[in-house]
Amino acid sequence: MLKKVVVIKMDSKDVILIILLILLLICSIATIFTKKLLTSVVIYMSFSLIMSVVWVILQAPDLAITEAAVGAGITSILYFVTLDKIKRIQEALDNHGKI
Amino acid sequence: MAKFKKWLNGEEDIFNKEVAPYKEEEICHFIETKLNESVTAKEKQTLVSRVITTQVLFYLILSSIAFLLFILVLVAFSTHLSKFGEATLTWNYVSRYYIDHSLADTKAINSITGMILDYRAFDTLCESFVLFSAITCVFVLLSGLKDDNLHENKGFVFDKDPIVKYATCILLPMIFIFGVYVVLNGHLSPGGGFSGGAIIGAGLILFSLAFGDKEAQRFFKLKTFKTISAIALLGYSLVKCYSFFMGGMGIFDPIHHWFFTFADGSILSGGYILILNICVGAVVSCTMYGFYCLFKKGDI
Amino acid sequence: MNTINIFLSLFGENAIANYVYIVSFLLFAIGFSMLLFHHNLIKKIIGMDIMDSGVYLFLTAMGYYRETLAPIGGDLVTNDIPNYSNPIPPGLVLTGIVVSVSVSAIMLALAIRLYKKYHTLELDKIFMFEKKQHDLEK
Repeated sequence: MLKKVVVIKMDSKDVILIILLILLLICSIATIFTKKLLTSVVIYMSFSLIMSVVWVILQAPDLAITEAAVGAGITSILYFVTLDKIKRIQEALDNHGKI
Repeated sequence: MAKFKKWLNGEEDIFNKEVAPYKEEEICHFIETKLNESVTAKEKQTLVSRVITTQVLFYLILSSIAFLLFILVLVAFSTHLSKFGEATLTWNYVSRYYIDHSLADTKAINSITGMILDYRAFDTLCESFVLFSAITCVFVLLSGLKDDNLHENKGFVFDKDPIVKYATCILLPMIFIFGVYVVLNGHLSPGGGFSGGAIIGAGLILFSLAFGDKEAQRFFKLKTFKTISAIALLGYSLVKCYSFFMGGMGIFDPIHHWFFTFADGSILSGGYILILNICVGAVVSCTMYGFYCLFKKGDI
Repeated sequence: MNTINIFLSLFGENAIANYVYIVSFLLFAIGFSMLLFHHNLIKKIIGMDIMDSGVYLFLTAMGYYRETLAPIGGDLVTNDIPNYSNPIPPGLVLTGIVVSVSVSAIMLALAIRLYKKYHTLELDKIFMFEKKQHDLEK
């Protein structure tokens, strides 16, 4: 049982961190339950942006720069181009019957 | 060899002999016509829409229970760790050594860069090789997809959009300058080869989006990609091998002794870390832009 | 009542103080559940990226000490109480983030190839078709 009283030091950084972590959980759950693929990719983009703020709070500025460039920029661009390519394959199928 | 090329282009499958021309609703029709076998109504329903049978339900419930147990074990494990933010067991000797001695050993003010590019330099070299092999895999997988039918509508290009063009004209120099700054100042301030390379790669992708593929191909072709990657990886290996062979700290190293004797904090004081940062940044930026090009048009 | 006591004794005393670790494990679990249970291939790949983020968050939170600075500066000297956070986890995660991009790129390329062959992203339909064709070939 939880009988011992544990002293927890919390400051203003922890409050911001808790809010950001709750937002992270909301974003990651929202990616599961969205129907459209494009919406879930955009939500994943916002997930990466929140993550980069978390890195700043956790005293890792290198990671913040990398995550902002990679997670919100390049990964989501790759997802968008993939969805675009799939749509174009589908259109080519509709028009010609084959690729 | 011809068969392998056909397999790459998606015209022939080595195992299934022929690639099936069907859409997802036409699976049953395809089976009926190609394989000379009629499809019953029940099978048709299982093919078109997913039907949960008792067997599938059993597996689903079992895997859910196993998964919940897995989460429970992980969370229970995390409550037994030492408190978040308190340095007890984790304040170990290795990190303490890195913080105390990294300036004297590697001449890098940013001790993270000093760690990943001096103490653990071969680790970073292998990460660069991972990136290179990844883009080779993507090249093999996607280089067959440059069919003519796919390029009827170009889709994802903002060639004619003036807003994107002018915004890019303003933003692009700043992005490139910031990327080069982050790469060159990797040992003095937060950043380094990986971060700066990713920023430069994102800038190249923005250029290609705003001005079209033709403009981008004027300065970045497949030959450029090959040359930059090969020179950067080979240069990294040679410089770091030389540095390790000469003792690592530049004591017995004539080049280091003669050239890199600057005060701490100037840009050339990092010694070989500057060269290694440039190599890593080149590899990462080329790889990121290459991923985009391969996904976009099946070619660099 | 006894079973509840046994269940509660699983958890240690730092349950509230370690909220970052718990959130990182929950992120790992959410990504893993997407990877296991979702039928769409793109959603599976996004789930794997979320799983990566959970691991990175756990590693970096292990290296963070309260009221310390990032280990960047001219005169880094340590005392018995640390005044700089641990440089090893950010160094490991920095390379991991860039490698995770290349992993997801390879998986997206494989997804495009699968879509070109089967014209669907649903894994069930792909399995169903393969099974049917295998049965007929026998």
